Amino acid sequence: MSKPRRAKASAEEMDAMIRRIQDSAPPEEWPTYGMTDEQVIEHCRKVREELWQEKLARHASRS
Amino acid sequence: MRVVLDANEYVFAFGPSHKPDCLEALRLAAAHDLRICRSIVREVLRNLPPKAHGDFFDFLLAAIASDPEIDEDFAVPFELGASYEDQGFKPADALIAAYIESIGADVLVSENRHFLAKAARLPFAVHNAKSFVETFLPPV
Repeated sequence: MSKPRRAKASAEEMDAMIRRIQDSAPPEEWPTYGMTDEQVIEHCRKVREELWQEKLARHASRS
Repeated sequence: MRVVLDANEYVFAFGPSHKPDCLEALRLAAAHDLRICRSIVREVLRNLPPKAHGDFFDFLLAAIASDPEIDEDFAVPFELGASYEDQGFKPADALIAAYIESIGADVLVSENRHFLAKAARLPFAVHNAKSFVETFLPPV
């Protein structure tokens, strides 16, 4: 299992990293651009299901 | 306190809406023992533009103090996942719930109210970002 590793980044460094992620691409390049909150939640559920199906397909192709 | 953030929390915080409650939940979770599994990482990456992937991993390295930073799905006991499926969870949701239980997390933060609605009793608390922040942010 996991063990403690090291000190984490400061709150300011964390904020800078979050901003970098947010600013990495124009809003319209984000897959959830233009979606309402409910649509984002539904989209995330679909992505979870898609990834699960992809995982099953990978396992099936190996066996 | 050990905390797991569902993929939708990262998507809301980083994505175009920059939802303030979710951003605050991210910061608060990072100040505690934040944990993440491979499945949630994959889900978040699927929802980020490729240009943001490197920065997301930098964020995880900075926010998570455990080693390794990402917990592998295969470490989740199969029987635990099966027990959630028996309760009516979809297999992918069952894996996440079993992961959270297997690492002894105290809290799951998710905006997906339907996700865990099927469970009669869970060994961890479930909050959305707003209630997580309201409950655990120390008063100033």
